[in-house]
Amino acid sequence: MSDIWIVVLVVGAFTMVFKAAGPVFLGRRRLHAKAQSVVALVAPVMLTALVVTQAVGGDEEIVVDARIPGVVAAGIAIWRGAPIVVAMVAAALVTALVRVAL
Amino acid sequence: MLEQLLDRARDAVAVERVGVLVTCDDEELAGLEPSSLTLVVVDVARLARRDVVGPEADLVVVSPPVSGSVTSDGRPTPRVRDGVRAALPLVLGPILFGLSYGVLAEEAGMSAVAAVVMSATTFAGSAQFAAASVLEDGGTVLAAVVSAVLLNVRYIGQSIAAASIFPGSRPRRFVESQMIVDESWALSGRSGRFEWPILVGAGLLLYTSTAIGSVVGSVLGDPNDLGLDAAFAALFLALARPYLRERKAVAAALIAVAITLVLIPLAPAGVPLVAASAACLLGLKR
Repeated sequence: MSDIWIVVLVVGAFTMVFKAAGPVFLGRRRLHAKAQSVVALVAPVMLTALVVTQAVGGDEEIVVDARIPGVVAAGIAIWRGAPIVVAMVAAALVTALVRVAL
Repeated sequence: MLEQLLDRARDAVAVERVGVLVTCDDEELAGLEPSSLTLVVVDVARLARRDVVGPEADLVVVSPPVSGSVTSDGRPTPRVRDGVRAALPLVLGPILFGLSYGVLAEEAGMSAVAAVVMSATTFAGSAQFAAASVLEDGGTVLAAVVSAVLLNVRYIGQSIAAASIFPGSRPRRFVESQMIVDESWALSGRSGRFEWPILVGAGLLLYTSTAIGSVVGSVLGDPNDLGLDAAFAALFLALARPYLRERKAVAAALIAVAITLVLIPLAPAGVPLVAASAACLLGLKR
């Protein structure tokens, strides 16, 4: 089996079990409060880390290129309350334009 | 209760109204079901003369027109199609998301079939991206799996929060719980308590549109010419934004940024993401 299929199937299996955890395994029992506050931080932490790897990540190096103005444009759009789609289009457009200009 | 009243050696009791709580459709969960209750009130006074209500069988009246159509607070019980409708304004998101995921997956060397299977099983947006983006950067299988799995750990929390609204057998709950995704979960709780039809309806629509987007995306070409690589970063930023209202989340996110920036030049792709998750331990602090 190729590496890709291993990733697809293993991640898929984990995700399905995670989603079913409440309704199937735990019923109405609750997580410990401390565990809950750790779990609550997983999403913001992982997502911001992904912003960084996606914006400046290279092959084991930090690459500063046309992606930065794109991400900045998206950041402004998001902070002004624009929908996700608008932010993505803004990022793509600005990055593509900067690439054409350089 | 009626029986208790009648046991006390009386000839008759006066009963004005009989209320019956009907849980949705599951005997197994009766008593465990805090939501989707239907209140059936039978006005006995209309059925018999007020002063002569005896312990007759006609006290128990089945009330077909009421059952299942109104919640205890008087709102109509939402249906699955209400969930679909609630998620309609969001549908462009998953389509575009699926599209860009498909493109990234193709870049990462995933076949269209693998991309769609991942959309169908992992159906969780950012984790699909995380896995594909680690693979695209040449990261290891382990790094791809760990970063994607960590990203989805949040679903344990969401799943537990909505646990009690899922009716039926274990296998059925397993299947339907797969419709939990950030948006459907958030929508289903908008009335202040989780509603199963909204979650499932919204989940179904988002699920289908993500899958369709992935198919289309994975047969498209190089994303970078179009600036789509920056669009992925924009997407993560937009998904992160709602979480960044609390100080603790912002602090944890900043620590994660620092860890990621330090590790990108030092460690193989994927490792910075996994290491960044250490910032979650900030949750242990008060």
